Amino acid sequence: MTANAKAPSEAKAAGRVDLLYRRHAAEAGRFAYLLTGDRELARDLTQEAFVRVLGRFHDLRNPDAFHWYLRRTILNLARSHFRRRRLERAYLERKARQPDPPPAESAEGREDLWEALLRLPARQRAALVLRFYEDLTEAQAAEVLECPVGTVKSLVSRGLARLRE
Amino acid sequence: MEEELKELLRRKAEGFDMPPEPPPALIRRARRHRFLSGALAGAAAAALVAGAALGVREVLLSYGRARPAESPTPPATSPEPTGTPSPTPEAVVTSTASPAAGSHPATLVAFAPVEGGDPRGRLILADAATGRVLAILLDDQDTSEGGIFDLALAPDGRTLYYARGTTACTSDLERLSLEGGRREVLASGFASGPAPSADGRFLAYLEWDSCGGRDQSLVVRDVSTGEEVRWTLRVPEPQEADPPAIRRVAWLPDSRRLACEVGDGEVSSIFLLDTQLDRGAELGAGPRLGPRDSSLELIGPHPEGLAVLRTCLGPVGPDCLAQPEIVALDPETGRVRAILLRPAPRARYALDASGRHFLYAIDGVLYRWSGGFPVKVAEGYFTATW
Repeated sequence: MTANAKAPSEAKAAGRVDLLYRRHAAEAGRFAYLLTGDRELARDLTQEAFVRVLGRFHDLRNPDAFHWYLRRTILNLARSHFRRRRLERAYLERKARQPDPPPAESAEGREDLWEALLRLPARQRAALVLRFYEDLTEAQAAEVLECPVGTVKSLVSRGLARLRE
Repeated sequence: MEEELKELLRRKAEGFDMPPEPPPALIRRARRHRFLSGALAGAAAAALVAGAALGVREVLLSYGRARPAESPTPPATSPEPTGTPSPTPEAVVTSTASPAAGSHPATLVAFAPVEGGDPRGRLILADAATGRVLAILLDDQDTSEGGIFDLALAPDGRTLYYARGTTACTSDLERLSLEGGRREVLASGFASGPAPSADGRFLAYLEWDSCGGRDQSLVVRDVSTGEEVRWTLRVPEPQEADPPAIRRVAWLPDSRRLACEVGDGEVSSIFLLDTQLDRGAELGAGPRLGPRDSSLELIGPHPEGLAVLRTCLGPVGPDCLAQPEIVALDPETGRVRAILLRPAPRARYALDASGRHFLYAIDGVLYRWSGGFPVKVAEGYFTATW
């Protein structure tokens, strides 16, 4: 009785996960990839973000809400990854030794810029991705990064300056 | 460089793929995570008990699952006042002490975008209960360089300080009389983060030495005489790409000591500066306040002490939750005196003059919180204060 009653509800939940995944996973994964520069890590973070957002929000009424909460969660997970394990420096050094193989459609000749971007501190890189990939305004980026607008200005200007070097 | 970077990011993003279908493990974990949420609630309750045992007073605990607002898309239109109870905490309030004494301020000041071709915004005075716009203080402001940010009301409630973005890395500090509308530039170039003292006598603000510079100053200006005292945060060699910086300052009620949040990458720390005694002191050299295993983001003075957003960096446990919390630190001892909100949304908070009423925006939706449930005030706000 219990099992029979449970089955449709579980199927419905699985269907909802499937729908949300198909709608948001690709873009969210790209965002994670630009933050981390690591394909496997980006996939892991994106899936973890899905789990967390789905677990927290039982009643999603607005797809846009899911989009933005997913990004915020990915950003926080990426932060935690680099902060809690204190691996960023070692990780980036490892990345420098073993660069991610560029995809066929990679920007030819700009791998130097990509490598430089990946060597930036995580906050600077996140600010640049939010401003120049997600096309957020400084105020919106400040909200996602949970920092003052002045800090976003500083992060972006320092990040661009480092990329120009 | 900006265009090159945009193109690179676009191409890199296009070259990345996720698995086309959700892995079965993801679906299984999504189901299990709901039970995990319940376990965390249990951990929060245990922490509450532990906090009580340690002498932590007045706990305003509001634990629940956050839920997105109706339209958390970054705002692109004029504010839509709502004044409805917030859906943010789909709240299961496991324990609450009495709500904050006194009512929240009647009005708030906010900077909000307006619809139009170019990015424009306006500074408004709004009803804090409903979000209804009462007056437009500054209309048709350019937002392309960050617009108006770091809003801070003087204790008299009639003078507003704020920063105005002028280029990608510069901003001016301005003062606006809310009564007469008189506006003046107080500092040009690289100034931000104004903080008026409780007695209204001093204004503290932050200033960089140059665009992308290495030295940052904390400036305390006597409002009546214009006399200034500066403290400089110097970055030791070798210089980091993301050097330590003062991110926010707030006066203690004595109008003499300043709490300074110094950020170093992902970790923020709080230091106290006695503006009468510590002239010439090196910022960040003194002892930091609060638990050592935490990143502490400054909110402001609260009746229970200094309100900060604490993110625990240690192993997760009853006293170190995975999500941030707002705690009050004893400014004398640096110890946690009260847990005000656990878990707390990650956001930038503004406190009113009484220190009891919080205002914060998440994804363009503005909320107020005075204990108990946060209440949604309006949509489409970048930043606000009261």
